[in-house]
Amino acid sequence: MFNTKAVGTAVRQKDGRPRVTGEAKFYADVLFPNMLQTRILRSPYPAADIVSIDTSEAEALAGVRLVMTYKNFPKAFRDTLYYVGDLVAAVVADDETICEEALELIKVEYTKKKFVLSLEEAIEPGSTQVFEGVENCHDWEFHYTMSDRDPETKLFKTKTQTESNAFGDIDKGFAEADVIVEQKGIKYAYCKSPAMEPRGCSANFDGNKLNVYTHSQGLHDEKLCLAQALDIDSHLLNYVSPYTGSSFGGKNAFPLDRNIASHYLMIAGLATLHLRKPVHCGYSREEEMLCGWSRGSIGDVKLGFKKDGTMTTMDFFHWQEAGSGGDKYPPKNAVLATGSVLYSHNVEHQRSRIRYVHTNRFCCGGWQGYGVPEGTYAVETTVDIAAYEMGIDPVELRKKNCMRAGDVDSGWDPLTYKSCYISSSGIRDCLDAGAKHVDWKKTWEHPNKKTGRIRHGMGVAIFAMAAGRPGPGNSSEAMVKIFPDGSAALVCAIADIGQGQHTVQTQIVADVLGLPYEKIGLVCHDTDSTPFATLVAGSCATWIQGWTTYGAAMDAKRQVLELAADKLNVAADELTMDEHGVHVTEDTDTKISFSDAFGTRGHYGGIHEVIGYHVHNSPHATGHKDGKADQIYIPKEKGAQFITMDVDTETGIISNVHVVMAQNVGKALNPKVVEGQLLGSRHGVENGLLANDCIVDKRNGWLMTPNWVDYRHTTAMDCDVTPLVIEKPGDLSHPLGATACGEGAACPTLASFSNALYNAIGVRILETPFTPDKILTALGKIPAKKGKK
Amino acid sequence: MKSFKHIDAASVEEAVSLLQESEGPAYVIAGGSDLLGCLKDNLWMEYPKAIVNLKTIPGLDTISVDEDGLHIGALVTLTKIAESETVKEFWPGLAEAARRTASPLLRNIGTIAGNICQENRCWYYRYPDKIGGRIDCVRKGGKRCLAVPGDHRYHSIFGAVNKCIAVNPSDTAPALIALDATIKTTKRTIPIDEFFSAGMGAQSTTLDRDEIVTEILVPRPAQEWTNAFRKIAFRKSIDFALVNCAAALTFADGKVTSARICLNGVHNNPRRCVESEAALIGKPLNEATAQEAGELAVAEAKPLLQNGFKVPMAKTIVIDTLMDCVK
Repeated sequence: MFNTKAVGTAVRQKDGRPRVTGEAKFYADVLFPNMLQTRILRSPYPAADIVSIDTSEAEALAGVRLVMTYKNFPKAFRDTLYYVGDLVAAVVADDETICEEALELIKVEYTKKKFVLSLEEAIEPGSTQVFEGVENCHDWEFHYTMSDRDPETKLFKTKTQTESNAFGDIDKGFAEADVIVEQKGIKYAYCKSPAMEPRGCSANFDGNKLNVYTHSQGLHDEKLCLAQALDIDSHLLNYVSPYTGSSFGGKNAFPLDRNIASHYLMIAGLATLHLRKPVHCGYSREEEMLCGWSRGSIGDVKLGFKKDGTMTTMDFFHWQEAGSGGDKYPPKNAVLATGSVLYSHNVEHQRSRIRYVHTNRFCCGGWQGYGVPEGTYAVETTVDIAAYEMGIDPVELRKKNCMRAGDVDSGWDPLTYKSCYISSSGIRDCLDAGAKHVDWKKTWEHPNKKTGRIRHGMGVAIFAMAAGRPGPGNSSEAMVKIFPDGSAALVCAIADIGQGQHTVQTQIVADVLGLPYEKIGLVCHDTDSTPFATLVAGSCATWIQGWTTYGAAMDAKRQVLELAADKLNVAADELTMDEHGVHVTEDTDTKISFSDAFGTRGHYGGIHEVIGYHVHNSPHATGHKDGKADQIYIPKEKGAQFITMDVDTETGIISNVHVVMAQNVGKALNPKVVEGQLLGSRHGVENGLLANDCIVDKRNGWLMTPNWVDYRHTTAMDCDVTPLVIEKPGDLSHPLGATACGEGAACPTLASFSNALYNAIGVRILETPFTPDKILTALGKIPAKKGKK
Repeated sequence: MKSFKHIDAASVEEAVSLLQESEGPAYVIAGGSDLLGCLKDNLWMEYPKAIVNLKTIPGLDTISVDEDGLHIGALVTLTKIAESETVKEFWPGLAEAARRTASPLLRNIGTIAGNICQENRCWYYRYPDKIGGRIDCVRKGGKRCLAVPGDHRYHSIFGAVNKCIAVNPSDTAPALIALDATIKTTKRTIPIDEFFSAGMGAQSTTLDRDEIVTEILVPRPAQEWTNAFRKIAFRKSIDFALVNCAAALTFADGKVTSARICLNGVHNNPRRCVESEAALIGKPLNEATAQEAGELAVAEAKPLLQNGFKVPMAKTIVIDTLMDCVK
């Protein structure tokens, strides 16, 4: 093992200085001489066919280089339109002003069609179909029933494809329950990943290959996908992403799927290859708000308890809005909030039915939480209702039933596993820490005891989120180079989307090599210079890439120690490496510098760099129970969140929102970075507090909130967050005992917010956002709206 | 954004003649925080050929006090008003209205004249032209208001003006109305009660197209008085008001001798609560009289399907603002 010096310390972030000084160059800063600009003509209708399109006048305008439509570029455009803002055409011209003039010269004749704009309507049988001939409502195709539980290991041995994700016997569970609590129609309004940097790219053909500069969450994943979509060999495409201007997990590019918001890549890529000139295609704020990834859902939850509050049975029905296509995978993660994972400790009978539903709105996609916030909101609201109904303290009810280390995860991701063990939990410690911080025991009051105009509320919710996509196929690679001057570089494509991965991975290298953190550099910005690294999704980078980086650093160190051992004439395992070179562990005077060990002789030979390499397929064997590969420990993100607030019962305004976010991260490799991740809870709050809802005009399908004025970010003045970083060592699935942290902050927030609001006003509001009109209606201060359910 | 001419004016007279002599539509720019958004989203029927910059005109950015009261140059920033010790001491309602406007960055560039001349924030009117084309609402030449059958959760609770139910978004406007300010322009002097007049297109005031605000005079009342401003918005840091309210009252022998109360965010133009004002005269200001004034302020409200919440909100903010005026 090695001494931890950088790890566990709040070292300065590698990209901190360039980001705050403005030295960091984002894709939009990349300028090529004579680069052409692009603007997109977008659909005015939520559903329409293009009957005719005449681009001749636009093409004739001076400065226009290319007009792209479904006729000449069918890979990127189509003649059927599925949402307001869908792509009709693009103009590539010398500058944006010419592009905008040319857009006005394109003549399009449309046939308007019927459309469906809300999840509720789209679910109804016989509703207007978004895709003709295809039902809007789709069963999640990877539903499996787990059975044949091994009495000794408790793991399930059999999985059978069925119509639900299930184990046990749901009917038996409810028949045997003492208390049944059911809540239907818990609605999560359609929300938006709030990245500050709008999507886009600059593409340049340099004579040999296509270089695409863009933001990225997974350079190699996205590059392969783009090469395939453009139909060019992978070696002809270099995908470059020096900095990403925040992502919130919503900037994964899938250019192969035309329904997902990666059109800029196809437009710029195709135009560059066609014109052999650099092309920039960047979205405006309005386009970003329109095309960025969204989420929204409706959940029904039914719970069965024993008299003492033991939760034995859960039935969960989840409809996820998928817009006009997009990513259908997020809803599976809603299952993480159920008896399959979060409440796996006592639940014996579990059923989850997952549907994704198309509407004539922009695409849905995974972003921070990837389905878990929606599931957690529904489940944790219902658990809270149960606590009040049974007269059990909401914190205690969760402590009794939440997942614990060693419980069985019954396959929320049955594509990869039948079932596995939860490697660590600590949720009960998080509940204790949070409750202590807000002085829950002394200050919590039942809503029926509250009086006066301003009512104080306290709420709690717990969560479990994935840590990557464990299992075969989810691999990552890294190289570590050690140079004769005693510095080193991590060569690794893991994306830093603001979550601090470049810093954390470098800290691992520093400590493995025994070198100062400042001596470790990074080569990370393009696919040509780096080996494959996993996509940054599901908070997997510390867990999966962390192993890889560790392995590559160990491999490089081994080679240097062997070189030194040869020169010093001792065994390599007797040597220690530090910033001065290599010395005998027990005799610090017997030593050799890096350059002497390498035999470096300038231009005339010797070794100029030692390269360590590692490929890691998760999970690592240290995560196998008793060395058995079919009994695996898989980590999760997990924790508890408390929210306190004041509600003005005359105006319906919520103020003094304070979030306490407690999360067990195993080991905080960089405590400040981890705290920063927990502070991200603030952005979960905005979807409850700030009227955030992608509001659509019901008659025309227009998005009424395409800007930061009508769609709001929480600021520090509106919501205070206290991060409580809980470190419970002992998770064997990572070399440093770290698990995962990042997406979790978004998961419990709507539930804890909703629960605090109920605690304040004594009325349950089941639809986000929790706006003054809903609060005043709930309090009976204004009449309920007619004709609305 | 399409191209236009940008001309620096050296004097008020030059600015006026530039407006008059422009070959196509021309607009003035000071802070630009409202104008640039309108240009980027291509809101108007007439895109400007020229923009006349007022920031280069000397002498319009000072605050002074004489026996008439407070003279605020048209180019004085909201930050300067919010931070002025004189304004904070004698006209706290105005200082607070300036302080609660937008964010620090916007207050540093935004001017007082720009704030009272700004356009409404109706999301149909403001709908950008880049995501499917411009929406022609009634204000932009369309046949009808789209918010009435559409989404009007933040719109007027006191009916329409010229069929439009957008609301005036200014925070300083109700404060200046409560304080009975006077607007000096290049053509005339306009009492604040006659200044706001929502019309077609970009029109939100009675100013002519070639008329420029040069100064705002806030009188100094003779008697013992108080004034206050409150704002309800989603965020404390930045947001247009859901509703806001300003009140200015004078007292003698513990009784109200005059009252000016103004709500904004509830109607096309800032709305004086004249019934509430009348009800207070001759009475002491206390919870009971404030309550009555609050109820009278919304007695004529006619909310639509989605914006009924603004009625109790407006009533409450009138009461709270009046209670802030209790000495």
